[in-house]
Parts: sequence; C-alpha cells; structure tokens
Amino acid sequence: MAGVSLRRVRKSFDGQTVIRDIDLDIADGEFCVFVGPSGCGKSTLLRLVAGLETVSGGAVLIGGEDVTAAPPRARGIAMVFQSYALYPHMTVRENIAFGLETRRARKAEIAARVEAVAKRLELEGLLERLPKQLSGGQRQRVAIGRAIVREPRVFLFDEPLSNLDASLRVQMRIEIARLHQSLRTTMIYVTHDQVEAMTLADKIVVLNAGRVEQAGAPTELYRHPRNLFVAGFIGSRRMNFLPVRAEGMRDGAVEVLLPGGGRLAVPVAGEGARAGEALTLGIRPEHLRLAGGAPDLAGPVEVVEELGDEQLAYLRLPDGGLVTARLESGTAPREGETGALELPPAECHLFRADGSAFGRP
Amino acid sequence: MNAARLAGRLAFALLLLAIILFALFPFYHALVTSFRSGSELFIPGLFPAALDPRNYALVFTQQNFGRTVLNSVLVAVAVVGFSMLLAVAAAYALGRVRFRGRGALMLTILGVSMFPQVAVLSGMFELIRALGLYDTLPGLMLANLVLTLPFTVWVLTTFMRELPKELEEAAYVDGAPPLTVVRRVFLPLLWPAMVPTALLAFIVSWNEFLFAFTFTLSAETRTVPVAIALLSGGSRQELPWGLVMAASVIVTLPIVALVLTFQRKIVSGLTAGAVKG
Ligand SMILES: Nc1ncnc2c1ncn2[C@@H]1O[C@H](COP(=O)(O)OP(=O)(O)O)[C@@H](O)[C@H]1O
Ligand SMILES: [Mg+2]
Repeated sequence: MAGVSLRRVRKSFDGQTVIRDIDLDIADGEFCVFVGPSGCGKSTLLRLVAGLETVSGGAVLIGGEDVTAAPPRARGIAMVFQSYALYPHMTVRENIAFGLETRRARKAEIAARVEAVAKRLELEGLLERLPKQLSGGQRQRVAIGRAIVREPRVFLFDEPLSNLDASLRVQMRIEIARLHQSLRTTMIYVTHDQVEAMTLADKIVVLNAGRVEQAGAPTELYRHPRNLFVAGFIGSRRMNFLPVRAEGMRDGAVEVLLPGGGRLAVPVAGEGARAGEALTLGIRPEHLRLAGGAPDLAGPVEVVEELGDEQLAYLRLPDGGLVTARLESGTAPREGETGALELPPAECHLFRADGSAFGRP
Repeated sequence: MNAARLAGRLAFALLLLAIILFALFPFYHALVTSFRSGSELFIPGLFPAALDPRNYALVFTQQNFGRTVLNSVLVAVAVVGFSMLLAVAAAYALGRVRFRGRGALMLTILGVSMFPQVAVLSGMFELIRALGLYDTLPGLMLANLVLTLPFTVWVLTTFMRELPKELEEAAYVDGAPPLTVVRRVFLPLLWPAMVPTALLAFIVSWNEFLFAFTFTLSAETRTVPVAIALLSGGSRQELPWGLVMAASVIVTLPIVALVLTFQRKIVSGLTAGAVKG
C-alpha cells in the first residue's frame, strides 16, 4: 500500500502541452477520482502515473519512492483500461493468471489466487471461456480480476464503466466501492461522469485543460467550489448562473441586484465586493424554492419536466436567461403560468468577473 | 421471377466453372503430359492413353533429384525462418514504435521489391562473391531474403498496427518484459497473418530460378527449378517434356500439401472480444 504524489508534472506531445505543472498528493488508501471534460488530460495524467507515458518534466512518487524513470512493471500498479484490453487468445483463467506468471509465482499459488479472485468476482463458471464469449459486464469483471489478483500498491482505472449500459454501470459502481472498502488500497479513477466522481471518491480532482481546477472531498467541492468551472461541473444538475451587480457590503454580506430588480444580501467570508462590480450569482436547482412572499425571481414557466418524485421547472427571466428549479412533485406551476422563486441567501454562490469564487461562511 | 433467379444462378455457376478450368487446366495438362513419353507427347488428347510412370523413375535416376529437392527444402525453410524472425521484429518497430522517418523507411522497403530481379542480379553476384558464399546454399538463402522480406515486413507491419495498443500496455502493466510481450501477446495474435505470409515466402523461395541459376554451379547446390531446366532428353534435339512435367508435378505436390494443411489454421477474427464488442 502506498500513496501517490505528483510534483510539478508536465507532459507535452509534439510541442503541445497537455498536462501543465500538476502538484497533487493522494494519501495511502485514498479513493481519488480525476474528473473533467473530454480531452482535458485525465487519461494522460493516469498514464503518467502508470508509466505508460514518460513525463516531460516533474516527478512521480509512489509510496514515497521516486518512480519517474521506472517502467510500469517496477511501479507496483495495476490498471483497468476503458476498452478492458483482455488478451483475446487467452481464457479468463489465463488472463487473470498472466500477471502472476510474469512474476514467476509457483503454479499452485497461481491456481489458488486465481480461484480466490474468481470467487470474489463471481467468475467461477467462466474461467475456461474466451473474452469474446463474455458479455460487457463479465469482461469488465475479468479486467478487474486481472488487476486485483496481483495485489498492487495502487489501482488505476480509466473510465472503466463508460462502455456499460446504465443499470449495469450503477451495479459495477457499487462493486468497485465495495472492493475499495475491503481492500483499502489506493485507487485512482478517471471518469468524465460527475455522478461517479461524487459517489465513489474520497477526493475529487477536477481537471480542465491540463490544470487542476480544484481538489478536495466531494462535499467540499459541492459546497465550496473555488471557481465557476468547478461550480458548473460538480452537481448532478447544473448550477444556475445569474448576472448580478454588487450594490455594496452590509454585515459580512454582499448586496446584489438580481435580474428583474430584486435585491439579495449574500453572506460571504473574506474579501468583499466593490459597489457596481459585475458578478455572477450561482444557485443550484435543488436549492431554489417556490416563493411564499415577495419573490426574488419571477418569470413565465417555459417547460416542466415530470420525473415522478420531482419536477424540473424552467423559468424565463426578464433578462432573457433561463433558470432551472427542482421542485417537489405536484407543486410546480403549469407551463405558461408565472413562476415565483425564492433564493435562500445561504445557498448562493458569488463569483467575480475572472471566475473565482467569494468565500462562503 | 423464379426463372430469372435460376438463370442467374446458372450463369454464376458457369462463371465459376470457367474460372476453375482456367486455373486448374495447366496443372492438369502437366499431370497428363508427365505420363506420356516419346512420340505419344505429340498426340493431342485430354486423357492419357496409359499411365506410364517411366518419367517419374527417370527424374530420380537421370540426376541426383533427391539431393536437389533437399537443397530446395533447406533453402526455403531457412528463408521462411529468417523472414519471419526479421519481419516480426521489424513489424514491431515499424508498427509500434514512433520514430522519425518511419514512413520513408516503409516506402523504401516496398521500393526494394519494385526492382526487377535482373536489375539487382549483378550487384548481388558481387556481394555474394565478396562474402565467399558463391555456389553455397547460405548464399542462395541470403539472395532469396531480398525477395521475401519486403512483403513479409509490409504485411506483418500492417497487421501489427491493427492490434489494439491497450493489449500491449496491459501486458506491460501486468509486469511482462518486452520480449515476453512479443512472445505471449503479439505472436499468438499475429499467427493468422504469419501463416499465409510464411506460405507465400516458402513458395517464392521454392520457385526462385534466376538467383539459383546464377549463384550456384555444382550439382550439390542445385535447387529444383534449376534442375528442371537442366533436364535433358534422349537426344540433343528432343525437349523432354514428359520428364519436365513429371518433375514439376513432384515439386508442386509439397506446396499443395502445405497450403491444404495450413488453410484451416488461417483463423480470422481472433482479435474479436479484445475490446468492447
Ligand atoms: N499519444 C498522444 N499523442 C498526441 N496527443 C495526445 C496523445 N495522447 C493524448 N493526446 C492529447 O492530449 C489531450 C488529452 O488527452 P486525454 O488525456 O486522452 O484526455 P481525456 O481527459 O479525455 O482522457 C488531448 O487533446 C489529446 O489529443
Ligand atoms: Mg480518456
């Protein structure tokens, strides 16, 4: 078991920089998820940890030991690829045993460990089959089996669930979470799906264009996004962003002018705002409420999506912007009616023009 | 409607028959001729009057034909072995490793096979003599490699490029050193491409005439095509067609046997199931 540290890691392909000076510490036993939009460098960063790519600058440490120049097999890692990458000419048993055979383990030990892994992943009946005779979910489990049988110091997963259908994905997600609970081995998991990131991670690393936008616990990122990018990326429903103007400071809160003329005092921690400054106010759909008294936001309801247990109402604001509110089932106004919403000040986020967030108490 | 389909099928069957006739008739003719001798050779006819095995006996008694066949086998096997060894190694480099000038190198390799054999003959002769390999089997093997390597390298490289990169990477992560990766992952997956390529290389070497004729002198190093060309008839004026055909049939049979043996091993779609399917 070992932690992973990146020290000013840089990577460029043919002069094009893909990873820019990333510093990161992943503790021993931690489940760390790299998340970000497609093409932001998640896979490249994971492959740098694996040793499948060489860094253009900086250092990679595993278990405190500098492995920057070490080949993959000297790093004590195991990897599950997005495409599974099972050896097509080997049976499931041979696939799982391969990583032990290269280490010249004894035959009896190999057999015992393959059996144990097969039992754990419910692959016992499939050991003599070839990969092409397996379903997607079974292939995925073989790929995981091939990784855990070697008892590595660090597990690396590159979008392991993206080829599965939705229900299987949820099931495998739970299996991976259980696996981490019982093994307690450091895991690095790449995904572009923020739900996977939120549910699995001890620590989420949000990447964008080769940089770390923010790293922290899921709730930390949800409650205290450091900038507009993280605020927009984390959360199962995209945060609403409203253009507002600062009116001034009062009692540790910024008074802002909302689209449509309403006023709101948003509590902030640390540095405040100057009067007249153009800001962005962020509010998650799940934090918006139907107004009891005078509304903060009002506008015609364009669309209502019925999800059974909840409804999503889309309101058109006077300034032309669209706001999404998640409401309890049966409470939303009908399409075409005017919706009136209340913004709980404590749930609001404020961002400066450069995208950075104001601190929240 | 049904009549039209029947006519279509009939036309297709006729076309197939024509193709088969065109492909097989020369061999059939050789077979028939090999059982004829003397003036019988000049009687036209699709069927032999009698099966006369005299020519087959004569092939082996007139010269040391057994030795000749052995030479051909030795040369062809060595050429196939070296071709495959070098081609797999080259295919790994050309198909998997990124380096400057890779495209140019591929084109050069293909370019080598574009020269007519005669063009390289004199240069090759000098080379072989300088190496002291004139009139030896190794000299012939070296020369034949020039003919087989371009296409074996090219075919295997193309095939190697098609193999998913993740398979190789998975093996590296699984702790396999590079040679193990080639042996346990690449070779089994390249097998379907290697079998037909090796067969082609074998046939090229087996049938090669010009190099064998030029670079060998003595009967001890003679290969089959040369020996057939040197067969002599009863008199100076007589071309021993029956004898030539008997020898040709003898040396074609191993090739036919090889192809029939391996055709079932040429499995396609072996990579299916490696990645998402
Ligand atoms: N081997 C490579 N050669 C050149 N460019 C690459 C290579 N691998 C990745 N890239 C580029 O690096 C960027 C990040 O890729 P990747 O890490 O795969 O993104 P993702 O976050 O989707 O996994 C992309 O723009 C991609 O084109
Ligand atoms: Mg990726």
